[in-house]
Amino acid sequence: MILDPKAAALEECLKWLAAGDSLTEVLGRYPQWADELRPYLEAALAARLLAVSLRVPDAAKARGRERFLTEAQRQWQPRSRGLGPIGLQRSLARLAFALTLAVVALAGIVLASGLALPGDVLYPVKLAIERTRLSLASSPAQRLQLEQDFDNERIGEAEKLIERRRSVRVMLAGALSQTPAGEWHMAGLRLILPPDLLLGDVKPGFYVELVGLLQPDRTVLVEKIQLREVKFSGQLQAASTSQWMVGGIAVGVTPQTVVRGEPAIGSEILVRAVRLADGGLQARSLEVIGIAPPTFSPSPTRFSAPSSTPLPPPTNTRTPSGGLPPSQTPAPSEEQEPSETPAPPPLPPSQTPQPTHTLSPSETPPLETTLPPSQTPQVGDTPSASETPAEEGDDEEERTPTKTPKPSPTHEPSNTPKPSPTPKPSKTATSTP
Amino acid sequence: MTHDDSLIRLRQADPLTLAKVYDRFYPEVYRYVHFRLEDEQVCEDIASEVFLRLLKTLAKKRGSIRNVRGWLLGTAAHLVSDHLRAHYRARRLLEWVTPRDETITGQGDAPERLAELGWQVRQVRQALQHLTPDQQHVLALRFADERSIEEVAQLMRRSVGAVKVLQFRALAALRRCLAKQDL
Repeated sequence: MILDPKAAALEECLKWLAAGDSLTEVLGRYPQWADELRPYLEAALAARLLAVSLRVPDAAKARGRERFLTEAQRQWQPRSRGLGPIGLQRSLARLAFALTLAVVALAGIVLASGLALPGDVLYPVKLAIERTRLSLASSPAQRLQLEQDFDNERIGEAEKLIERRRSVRVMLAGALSQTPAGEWHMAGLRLILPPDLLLGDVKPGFYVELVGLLQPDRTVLVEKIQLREVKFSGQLQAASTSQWMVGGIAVGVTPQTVVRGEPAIGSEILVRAVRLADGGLQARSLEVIGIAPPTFSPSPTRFSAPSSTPLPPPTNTRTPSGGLPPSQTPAPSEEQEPSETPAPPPLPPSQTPQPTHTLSPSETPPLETTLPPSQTPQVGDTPSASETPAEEGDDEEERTPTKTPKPSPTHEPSNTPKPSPTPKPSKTATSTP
Repeated sequence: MTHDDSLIRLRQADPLTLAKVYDRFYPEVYRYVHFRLEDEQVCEDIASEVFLRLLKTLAKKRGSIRNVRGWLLGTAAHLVSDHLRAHYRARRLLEWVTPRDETITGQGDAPERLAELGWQVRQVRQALQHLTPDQQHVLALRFADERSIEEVAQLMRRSVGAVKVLQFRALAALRRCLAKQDL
C-alpha cells in the first residue's frame, strides 16, 4: 500500500514536531515528500492549537468527583439481603467503604483548615478540631491553657481579617478594659456597644467573650457579650478565706462566692468561676460533689452519698442562696444540679487534678444562637469540603448548647457569708464578718 | 505500554482506588471530550457520565476492567458520538448563524493575537466536525491526550500501521476542511 510509508513518515514528523522542532526542520528531513507532507503537518499544528486551548475546569472536575464518589457509595448500599454471614460480611465491607470514603473526602482538609479565617468554608472545621483538642485535654489546667491558646488564635484571626479589610462576624474572648474616656477595649480592639445591649455582670477587669461584627477600623460592633465562665472539678487541696486550691488551680473566693455542701480538704469540688483580666479565676460557686476521707490521704474508697443529704450545717456554711429562692436566680441553668441530692460522683479516688468531670470551662463562645458566621456548608467547590461543614454543623449544634453561662445574679444576701474551711476533717466553715 | 496505572485492579472497587482512578483519568477524559466538543457544559456532563458508567460496569460484572484508560476513553468516544448524532442538525444550523469573524480591534499585540487564536481554534473545531468519528477519535487521542501511536493502536485494537494510516487520513481531511473554510 502506497500510503504506509507516507503515513509512517508523517508519524515521525509528528513526533519531532511534538518534541519542539520547527516545521521547516522537520520537512527538511524528508525533502522528497516535503511538499506533500506540509499540509498534513499544518493540519497537525491546527489540531495542536486546539489541544493547547483546552482547559479542564476545576469546578467541573470537583462536581464530577463528588457525584462519582457519592454514586459509588450509593451503589454499595445494601441489596436488602438477609443477615446471613454474607450479609454481615457485606455490611462490614460497606461500613469500611463508607469510612474510607470519608477519609478520602477529608484528606487535606485538616491541614487546610488551620489557615481558615471566619467566613471561610473551612473555618468550622478549624473550630471543630479545636473543640476536639479541648475535649481531649487531660487536666483542667491543660484545658484552660488550650482555651487560652484558642482565644489567642481568635485574636490572630481578627488581625488578619483587619489586614485584609474584611468585615466579618467573629467570636472573640479576652480581657476587657476601659480607657479613661470610657471606651471599652479588648485585645487592642475598640468595642462598640449598642445602647440596648444586655451587659449583665460584664464589666472591665474581667475576661469576656463576645460575638460581634469586626470592622477594618479595628472596632467590633458587639452583638452579645458575657463573662467567660470556667467550670471544672478537682480535689480541694487547700483553702483560705480568699483562695482555694482545687485540682491544682487557684481560685479566688469572694463574699459573693456561693458554697454548697460541706467542703473539706480532699473533697471533690465543682468550680464555677469567672476569669479576671489578669488571668486569675474568681469563683462564683464551689460545690462539693464528692466527699473527702477524714484526712488528706488518698484513700482508694470513696463513699459519696451520706453527707450530701440535706443535713443542715450549724453555721452558715452555705450562703443564703443555697436555699435557692427562685427570685434570686433568674436564669435557671441546666447544670444547677440540686446540690443536696446524693449524687455519688463516679470519680476515681486520685488526689491529682482529675479531669473526670470534663465540664468544659466554656468552650468556644457558647451562645447557641450565634453560630460561627460561615456555617452554611457550601457544596460544590471541593467535594471534600462540602462534606465536612455539614458534619461540623451537626457537631456544633450538639455541643454548644451544653453550657450557656448565664449571668449569675449578684448574690447579695447582706450578711456576706464567707466560707473559709480550714483543713479539718469536718466542716468548719466560719462566716467572716 | 503504560505502567500499572491503566491496569489498576478494579476488582473490588474500594473508594481509595476509585478516587485515585478519577483523579488520574478525569483530565484525560475531559480533554478528549473537549477536543471533540466545544460546549463546556456538555463536556462536563459527558466526562461525568463516563465515570458513572464505570461504576455501573464494575457493579454489574464484579470488576474486571483490565485497561481502565482504554475503557474510559472508549466510553467517552461513544458518548461523544451519540451526542454528535443527536445534535448534528441543530449544531450545523447554529454554525451557519455564528459569525465567522468579529474582527476585534485590539489595542496591543496580545489581545489581537488572542482573538486570532480564538478564531483559529474555532475554525479547527468546525473543520473537525466533518471528520469521521474514527478520525476524530484518533486525533483526540493523539493531540488532546498525547497518547503515543502504539497506545492508540492498543486502545482502538488495531495495528500500529492501521492507526498511522487512519491518522494520515484524518489529518488530510482536517486540512481539506480547513482549506475549504479559508475560502
